Amino acid sequence: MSADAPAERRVAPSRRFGRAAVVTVLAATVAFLILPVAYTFVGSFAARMTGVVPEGFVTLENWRVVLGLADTIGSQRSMGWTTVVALPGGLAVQVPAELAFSVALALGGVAINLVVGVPIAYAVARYDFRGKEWVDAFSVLPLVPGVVLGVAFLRAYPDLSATSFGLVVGYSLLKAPFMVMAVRSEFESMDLRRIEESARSLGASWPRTFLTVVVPQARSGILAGAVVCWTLAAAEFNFSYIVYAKGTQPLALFLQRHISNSAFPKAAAAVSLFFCIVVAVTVALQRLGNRGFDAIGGD
Amino acid sequence: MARVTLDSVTKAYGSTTAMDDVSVAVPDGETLGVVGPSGCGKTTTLRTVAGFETPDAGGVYFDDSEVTHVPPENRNAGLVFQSYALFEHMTVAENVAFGPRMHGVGREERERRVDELLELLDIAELRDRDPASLSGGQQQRVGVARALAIEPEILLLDEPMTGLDAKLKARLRSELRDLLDRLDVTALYVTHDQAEAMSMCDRIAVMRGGALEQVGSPAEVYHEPASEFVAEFVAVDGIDLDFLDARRA
Repeated sequence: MSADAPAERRVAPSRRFGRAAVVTVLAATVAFLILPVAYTFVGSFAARMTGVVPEGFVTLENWRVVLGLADTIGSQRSMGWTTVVALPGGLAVQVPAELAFSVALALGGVAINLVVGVPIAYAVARYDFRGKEWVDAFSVLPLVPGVVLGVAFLRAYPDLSATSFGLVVGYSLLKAPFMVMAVRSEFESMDLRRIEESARSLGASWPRTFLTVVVPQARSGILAGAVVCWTLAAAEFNFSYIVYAKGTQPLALFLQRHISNSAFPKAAAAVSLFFCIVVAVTVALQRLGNRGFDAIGGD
Repeated sequence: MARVTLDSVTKAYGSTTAMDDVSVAVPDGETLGVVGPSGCGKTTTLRTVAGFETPDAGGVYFDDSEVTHVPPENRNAGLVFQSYALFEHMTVAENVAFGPRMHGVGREERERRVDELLELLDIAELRDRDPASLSGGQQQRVGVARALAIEPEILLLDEPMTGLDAKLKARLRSELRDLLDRLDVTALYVTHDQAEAMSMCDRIAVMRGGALEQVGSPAEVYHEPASEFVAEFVAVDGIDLDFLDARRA
C-alpha cells in the first residue's frame, strides 16, 4: 500500500487502454463481418470466378437471372413477374413474383405476431397471475427448429400444407418468441403501472391508454421485434421446405435454388438481392412504424 | 376544486388491513399531508381517492356526490407521481394537453390551457422538448402541469419529492407550497418525509397500520401529539418551527 503512488496520479488502465481497445475490437469485428458482404456484392457483377478473385467485370447477367429477366430452364426457371400496380397507358409496376410473395408472407407472419405477441408480452411484464411461468415458457417454446414444427404442423393440420396461409401461420408461430422477448423487455423497462395510472387519471379509458400511451411508448421494442421476426421469417428455410409444395416459392427456397448448383457469381447475386430486400424492408418498417405510432398518438 | 371526504373506508388485502375505518375530510382548497412509516396505508388512501382501489367498506365523496365506484378516468383527480411517469413519446406540451384531449376539450382551449400552465410553472421554454431531456425538477413541474390541465377536483401528490437531491428539494418545496397556496387547490400530499409534510401542508394526517392516529395542523401535531407514536414520528430534524407557528397564527 505504502509503495503506491497517490491515487489521483494513477490513471486507471481501463481508462488508458479501454477506449482504444473497444474501438479496435469494434473496427475489426465490423470489418470481419462486412468483408464477405462486400466481396459477395462485388462478385455478383463478375462473369466468372475461377480462383479467389472474380473476373470479367462488369456484367448484369447474374442479376438478370435471379430477378427472372433472363431466359432460364429447368430447376433454375424463374417464376416471372407480378403486376403490383397497373398504370394507365399500358404501363405497370412489376416486381419479381417470388420476391413479392416472400416479402408478403413474412409480413403476414409479423402482423400476426404483433396482434398476438404484444398483448402477451404486456401481460407477462405488467401483471402477476397464476400460470404466468407457463405463459412465459409457452411463449418461447416455438424456438424449436423449423423442421420439427413443420412436421408437426403437417400432421396436425393437413389442410394447411402447401398453402400460403399455412406458411404465414407457421412463420408467425416460429418467430413469435423473438417478438415476445423484444417487446417484453421494452415493457419491463417502462414504469408501466404509473404510466397507465397517469393516463387513466387524465381521463383515458383502459383501451385508449393501451393504444395511445403504452404501445407508442414501447415502439422501439415493437419495431425491433417486427424487424427481427420479418428477417428471420423471410430466411426460414426448413419450415418453408417442408410445408411448401409448388407454385411461387418462398424466398428461402429461391435462395437455395440459386445457391446450390450455381457458379459463385450467380449465387452472389441471389444473396446480394436478399441483403437488399432485408435492408429495404427494415428501413420501410422503421419509417412506417414511426409514422404509424405518431398517427395513433395524435388525434 | 371540491371538498373530498373519506367515510369509514376499510380495505384489506388478504389478511393485511391497508385501511382500517379511515374517515377524513379535505375541505375545498386545503392541502392535507398523509404521513406515516412505509406500509401504514398512506399510498392505499391516495389510490382509493384516485379510483385505483375500491374500498371493501365505506365511501369516497367529491363534494356531495359519491364516487366510490366511479372508474379513475371519470373522477377528474390529478395525479403526480414520484417518478412523474411522463409520456416519453410526447413533447412537454403534448403531455400537458393529453388530459384535456381525453376530456374532449377543443384544440383552441387546449392550447390556451397549455400556455397558461407552462407559464404558471415557469417552463414555457420547455414546450417542445422531450421529457427524457429534462432534469428531475423540470420533469416534476411538467407532471404537475399535466395533472392541473384537467382542472381536477383534487390534486393527488404521491411522494413528489422523493429521489430529488436535498438542495433541489428545498427549492421545489417552497415553490410547490406557493403554487398550492396560489391555486387554492384541494390536495392530498402523501409522503414518508414528516419534515416535508409539515412544511407543505395545511393539515397532517398521521397513519399507522392502516388507521389514522391523528389529524391536525402541523403545529398541533407537533406540539400536541395525540399519542406516543405521533410524538416520536414527528420529532425529527429539519422541521421549520417558525413556519409551523406562522401557519398556526
